[in-house]
This record gives sequence, structure tokens and C-alpha cells, in this order.
Amino acid sequence: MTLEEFTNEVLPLKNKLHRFAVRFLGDDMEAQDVVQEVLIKVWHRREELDRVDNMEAWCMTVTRNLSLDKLKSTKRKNTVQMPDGLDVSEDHKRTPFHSTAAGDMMNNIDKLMISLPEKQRQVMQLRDIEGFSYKEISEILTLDLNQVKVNLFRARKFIREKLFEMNAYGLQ
Amino acid sequence: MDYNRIDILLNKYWDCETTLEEEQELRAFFSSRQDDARWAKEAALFRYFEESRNNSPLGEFFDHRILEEIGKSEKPAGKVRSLWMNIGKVAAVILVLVSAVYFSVEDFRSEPKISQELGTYEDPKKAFEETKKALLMLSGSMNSGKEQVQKVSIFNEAQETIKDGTDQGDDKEKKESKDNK
Repeated sequence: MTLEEFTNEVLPLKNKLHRFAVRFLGDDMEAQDVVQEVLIKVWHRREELDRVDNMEAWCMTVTRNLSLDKLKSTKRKNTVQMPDGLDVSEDHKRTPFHSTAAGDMMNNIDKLMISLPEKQRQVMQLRDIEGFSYKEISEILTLDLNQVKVNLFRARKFIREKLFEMNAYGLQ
Repeated sequence: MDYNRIDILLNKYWDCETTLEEEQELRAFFSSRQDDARWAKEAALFRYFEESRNNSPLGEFFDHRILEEIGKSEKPAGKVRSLWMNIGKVAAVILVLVSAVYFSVEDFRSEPKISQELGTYEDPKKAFEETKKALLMLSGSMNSGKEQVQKVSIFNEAQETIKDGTDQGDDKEKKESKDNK
């Protein structure tokens, strides 16, 4: 892999990796650190990575592993932070929707997404936002195909129910 | 766009039976229709997906940081230094060997010169005389020492004469006893 290939093919994945890392860590700066680590790792191992056929999925897997490592090392800090993430006022910082007209609705969907169990949230993120195939998701999250489908089904069902409980202004 | 098709796709979506392409179709449909009351909630959800997907907080500054980090780790400074150090080692060994050979050869060549050197004297005869004088002085002082040592040897002689004397006395006694028999 040349520097040019890296800049054109790997570096543009940064936001995708960042969004995925944020789902784990719930913190923008920590997620940025993880993405930086992933990209530098890719560069250092570029020779062996020429044989990897799905670079995107590989990067996502590394992002997941590094995010989990980070969660382990800052476990105490995160048990304090996670409830904060569910607070509406906190949501404004990490979502792009507060400036849009349908901001409230968007924020509520974001809250629903965050309130999903971890696996369902990750599967939904990878499928509905990032557009990965079931097979890729199973590789990234090291789940088997059935588990991926079950988690996605439960996530969509939960979102659908909650969504239709809301009134037109996005209030529950 | 056929509305029935959207209904069918949405049902498939909730049952997790849509393909990636069909999901993309739904996203595209709802992003272009924001104020359709019929699917307001679904539209919001798909717009949420679409906007999340386009959420890119990491800009060029981040790229620069990454490329800088990569550049830092790429500089093969360590390797160059070790190469130079190896060359330095080899040069040091060669220097030692060359200087050792040079000095030993030099030593070997200059050996005959040393044997002809007369120290502080220019004239060989004078040097010989002086050496003779020095050796005589040495032997003279050694002889004076010898006289002192000779005094010590008197004791030795005395001890031996006493020993001999007692031996002779014993012999005489044996002879006398034989005669009496």
C-alpha cells in the first residue's frame, strides 16, 4: 500500500470508524483517539493488509477491538458517563440535528438508538446507517449470521414501537 | 414512485427482509419527501439514518494529524544510525589492525639501530671504558660484601670441625673396647 492509496482508500473511512467508535464509547474525543490508532495501525501493517479483501470491514473490526480495550481501561469513568449520554441536553453536543427544523424528532430517535442494548445498537448502526451486509456485520462483531439477524429484528421492532408511541411533535 | 411499493418495502424492512439496495431505495425516497404526513415517522427515521451517515466531524485537520504521525514513524532514523554505527565499528577494527601491523613492522625495522646505540656516549671506546669502570665498581662492592659473608662461614667451619671431632672420639672408644676383648 502506498501513501497515495492510504490517503485515497483508508483515510476516507475515518468518519465511519468514528461513528462506530462513538457508539461504543459515547465520547467524541475518545472515539477520535481510537480512529487515529486504527489508521496508524493500518499504515504500520500495510504489507500484510494488501492481502485483506475487505479493508473497510477489517478497519471496523479493529475499531471495535480498540474501543472495547478502551472501555475496559476506563470502565469506572464510563459507568458514570453512560447515564449522562441519555440526557437530552447532552445529546445536543454529539448529534448534528439540533440545528434542523425536525430537531426534536431526530434527537428522540437518537435517544431511542442509544437506549438500545449494546449489540442491537451496534448491529443497527452497521446495517441501517453504514450499510454493511449481514455477513460483514457478523465478521465485524464476531457474531454468527442468525444472531445478527435476531439483534437487528429486535432493534427495529423496538424502534418501531417507540416511534409510533410518539406524537407528531416527537414527544413521548 | 409507487406508494404501494413503499408500503411493501417498509413492511419488508420491519421484518428484516429488505436487501441493502431496497434499504437504500427507502432512504433515498424519504430524504426527498420530508413533509409527507402518511409516513412522517418512517421518514424521520430514515432521515436520521441518512444524516447520521453523513455526519462527518473529522475534517482535514484530522487527516493532517494522521499523515504527520505516519510521517514521523516513517523516518528511518534508527536504521541509518545503526548502519553508520556498523561502519564505525568496522573502521575502528581496521584502524586497530593497521596501526598494530604498522608499529610492529616499524619495531622490527628499527631493532638493529637500537643495538648500535651507545646511550649517552658518542665514542664507543669511551663508552667501553665507562662500562668497565662501572662493572669494576660493582665487583669491588660485591667483594667487600663477600668479606662480611666469610665471617658467617666461620661458624659453618666450626660446626663441621666439632662434628668431625665427635665422630673420631666414637671410633676411638669402639677400638678400645675391641682391644679389651
